[in-house]
Amino acid sequence: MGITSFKKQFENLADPCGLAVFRVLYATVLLLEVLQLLKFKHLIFDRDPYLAPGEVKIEVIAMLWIPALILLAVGYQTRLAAFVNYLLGVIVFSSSHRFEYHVFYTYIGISLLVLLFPVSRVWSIDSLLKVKTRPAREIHYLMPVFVGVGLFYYDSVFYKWASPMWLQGLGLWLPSSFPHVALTDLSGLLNQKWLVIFLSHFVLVFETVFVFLMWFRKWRIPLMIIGIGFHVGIGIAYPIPYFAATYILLYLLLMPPVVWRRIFQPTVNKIKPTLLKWVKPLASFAVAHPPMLKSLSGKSWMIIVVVLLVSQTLIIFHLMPKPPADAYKKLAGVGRHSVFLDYHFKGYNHIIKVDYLAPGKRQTLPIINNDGSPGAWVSGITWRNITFDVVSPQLEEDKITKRLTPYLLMYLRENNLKAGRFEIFIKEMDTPNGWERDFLKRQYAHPWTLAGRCEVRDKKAQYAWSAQTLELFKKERE
Amino acid sequence: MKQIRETFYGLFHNKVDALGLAVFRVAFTLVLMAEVCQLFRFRNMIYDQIPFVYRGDIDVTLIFLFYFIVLGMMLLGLFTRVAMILNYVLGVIIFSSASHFEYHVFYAYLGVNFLMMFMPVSRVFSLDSLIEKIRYTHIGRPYQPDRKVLEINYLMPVFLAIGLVYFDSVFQKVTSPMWMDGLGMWMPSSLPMIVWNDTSWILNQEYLVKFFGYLVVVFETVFLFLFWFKRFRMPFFFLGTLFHLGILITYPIPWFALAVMGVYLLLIPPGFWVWVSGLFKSKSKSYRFYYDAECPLCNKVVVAIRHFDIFNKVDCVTVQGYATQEPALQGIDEQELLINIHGVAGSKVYKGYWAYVGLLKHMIYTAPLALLLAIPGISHLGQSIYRFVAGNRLTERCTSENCNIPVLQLPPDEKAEMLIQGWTRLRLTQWFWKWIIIVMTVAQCIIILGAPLIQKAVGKDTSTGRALATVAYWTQVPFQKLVGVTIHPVFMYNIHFDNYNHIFKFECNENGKRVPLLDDNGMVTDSYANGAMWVHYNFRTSSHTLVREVFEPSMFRYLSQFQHENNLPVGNYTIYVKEIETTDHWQHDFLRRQMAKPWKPAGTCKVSAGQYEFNWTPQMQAVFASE
Repeated sequence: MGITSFKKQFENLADPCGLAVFRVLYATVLLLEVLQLLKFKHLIFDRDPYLAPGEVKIEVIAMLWIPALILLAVGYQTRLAAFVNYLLGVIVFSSSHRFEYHVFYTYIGISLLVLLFPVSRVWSIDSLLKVKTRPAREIHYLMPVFVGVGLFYYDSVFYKWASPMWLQGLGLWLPSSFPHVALTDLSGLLNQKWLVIFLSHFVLVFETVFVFLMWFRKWRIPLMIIGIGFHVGIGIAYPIPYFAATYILLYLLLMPPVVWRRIFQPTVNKIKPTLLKWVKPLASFAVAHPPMLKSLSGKSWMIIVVVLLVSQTLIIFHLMPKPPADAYKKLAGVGRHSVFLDYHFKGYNHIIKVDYLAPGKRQTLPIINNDGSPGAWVSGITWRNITFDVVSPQLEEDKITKRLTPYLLMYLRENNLKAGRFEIFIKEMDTPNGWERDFLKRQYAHPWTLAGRCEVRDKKAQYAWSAQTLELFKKERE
Repeated sequence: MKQIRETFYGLFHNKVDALGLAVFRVAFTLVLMAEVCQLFRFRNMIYDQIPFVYRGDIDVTLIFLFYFIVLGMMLLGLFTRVAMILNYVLGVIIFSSASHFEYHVFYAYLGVNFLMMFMPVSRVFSLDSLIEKIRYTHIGRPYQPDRKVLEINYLMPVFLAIGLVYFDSVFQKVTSPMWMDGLGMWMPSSLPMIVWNDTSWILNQEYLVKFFGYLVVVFETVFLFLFWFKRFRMPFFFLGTLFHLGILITYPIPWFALAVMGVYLLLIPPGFWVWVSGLFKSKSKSYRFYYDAECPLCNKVVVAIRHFDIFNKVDCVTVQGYATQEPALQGIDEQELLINIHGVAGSKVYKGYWAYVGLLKHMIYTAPLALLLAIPGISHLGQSIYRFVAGNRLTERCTSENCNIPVLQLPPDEKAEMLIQGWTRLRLTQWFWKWIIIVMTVAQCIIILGAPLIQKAVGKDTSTGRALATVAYWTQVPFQKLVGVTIHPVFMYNIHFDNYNHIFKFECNENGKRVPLLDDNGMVTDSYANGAMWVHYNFRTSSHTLVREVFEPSMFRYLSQFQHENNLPVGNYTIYVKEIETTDHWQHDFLRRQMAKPWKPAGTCKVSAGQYEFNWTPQMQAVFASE
């Protein structure tokens, strides 16, 4: 394909149905993420969890954000809703620190594009109120995939090609073999040595070529099928469902838009007259439209793509000064993505579970289950926090006591308890030296050792560690 | 009754000039900007989980970054509607979230921000109005936006930010012996830690301060019912402005005083602002700007010139109509006049780029810009740009094809029907404001059901009392957070001052400086305790009931700010306490006596790396224990 035809494809018109489907699903995923933030609001945003609230409250932000996401989903005042969503997204996701995980930056980039792109030209209340609908362009489908997936992979392969774990073909096997990371026991797959090594290498090659092949129509369906396959796998294997869902949505943009029209248009035709009757009065409240990106020429789009790629390269090689690089990451979500690399797991040989001691029985807190797998509370933001901030490759007493307490307070609050006694257990894990059969099952089977006790009263926690645990903390420090 | 009906009918049907709303927009935005700047300056102290050590999972710098941009747009009146919506969103995040550093003006901001999303605050004196004029001006058909707005637009912020606030506050004040004894003004102004100026000369006039104390209660009681009537507006404006000028002088809450004074500006008859703007307009124009009547770009430029020519110094005239009558242009070919812009001041002729420089010089307030553009280098660049634009501009010479068929586009008419018969923008606006008044009034009345007066009447511990309090609370939660309608127990003796007997002074041992909270008199001069921090320091750190577990972590925030500003990684402090009195009876020179009370050592304190340690003297330990 020559430059001219490559350039021309940016100007191709496309059916806007796929963008409408994307709009609805993306708003839904974001809504779930916001609800997750709300659920853990005291842990994340309180100045002193359950004692003193923070001076900026997520529930106040959510009072505006949730309506904006609902408006975005139904496509009413879409531009304004997308603007509010982007603004609040930057404030919450770019601020995030101990509860940040990698999909946050994808949210920012995609929210920016949703704001600039015509996502409500069909199948929206806005479109019902308009006489004429206009088509979208192919580039409107490709840019979110390029920014959300392409640049992400482009960056990530620079890490992975330097990672012994990925070069040995263990990129898939190793993270899935740690009980606190694996949501599901996939030993059946993990025990197929050559298959998992092949898949790991395949991921590496796939991520390397993705950003270059996604522009070619003939590659889009295969790339989409593979990408969705991988992310369904991620959704099953790891406790990061909204990350998996977001990437599946992005891959769906590679589907020919006409497919969506064939699936949904008959239903839309059926409900349209009724809907129109209900939404007509809403036309009176069309109040504000943030400035919109005008239709750009193919050449302009090509320049934008090249500029984004070059700037990502500059960031990778640390050639972009820090202030613009930081601003770029915070405002457009484009930055570095060190995901599932060696250092995340190197020396990670202890995990922690906590039991609440009720009279006559004990209950394991839904942080880490009895077998060592992630508990019911551990998903996305909390998985990141528990796995890398509370517990981490190096066990630190100070970190654990400070950062575990909010979870204990949350447990007491959810169970309407004012005080409680807890026991903390440590499970020692093996460090693999390469692929090993049944490694995950062996880790599940390792015993828990009582590491200490904690008494919580008046929202203050008092920890008493065993001598053996204190010795362990000392050893880990060294 | 008829008069009342006519007054309200007039509010929703009379049209007045929009300039007063623009003045309000600028004044209120400036106050909001000052408040946001203050919060930004103290952002680490206010918002960090551990000040200057760990900020937590929300980076308020991002919020403020957006807020400054939005406030700039509001000030200029640029994309005002979007800016107002974002202002509301950001305002809710900052002001409704605040708990430790919240103070009463935050609710006024919320209410006014909410209303400004719907008010025509940028109809005039804004870049939006310029954009509208440029968009709809066509050759030979200049466009002037409709300057007239419904009168009710002026009164809505007064209703929400002042009327309802006073109405609620009366229900609080009538149960307060301090206010009922006429000491509502005297008492707070007589405590050193509350004031930043010594106003003893007025406080010592017993009958005068008591008169003012009672006047405030009467004023607040009648305000909501009378401000709708034109004849009461100017007296209320003067009285309200006088009170808030007093607040500005006495208490370190300048943004509160100025914000409310900004809202009072809306009671001034709109004609006043038109008259004031007329004072700025020059009777004689000093510069004539000749442009090509058939050039679309030139026509748009003229719209912009007229927009910015607030002193009325420039006369924009067409070459085709007037050049022949201009002696200074005699001898210049008409073709040349059409190709290049010309300006004439007396007998001096400016041409091309220099015509614009001359124009800026004569518009008076843009004269510095004219000087800048005349600097060699800048002028060379400017001339190149001018030549490029002038050489490529389109002209629409009048021919038989286009002269009779002008393609005109006009903005939507507010009286035009929208999809549904009878639904016009004007009718919707009237309907919207009416419902806002009804809903807000009902909400405020429900919230008042929880006020001490009502609770006392029905019995606080009865099932009715509890039910009313519950209904009031659950109404208050959303209305307070989203539109600022809430309770207003401001300056209540039992809540704020009763037994407030200890105030503190901190001196840093490292540099000998006093931590800027209370000065040697115990007053709040040159202090961090200003605005939101004044409320936080006086009522949530050091308060009428001293709680060590509250005082120490709160004080740690101020000390962290002090150390950051003074570049001190470690700070050791000597703490002094002054024992003051509080009283519910007027006394001569009470404030001065409190100021003169001695400071006594109270303990020491050390702050470093996000940690703090207080050591109190046995006497202070006994005070904490007894309180």
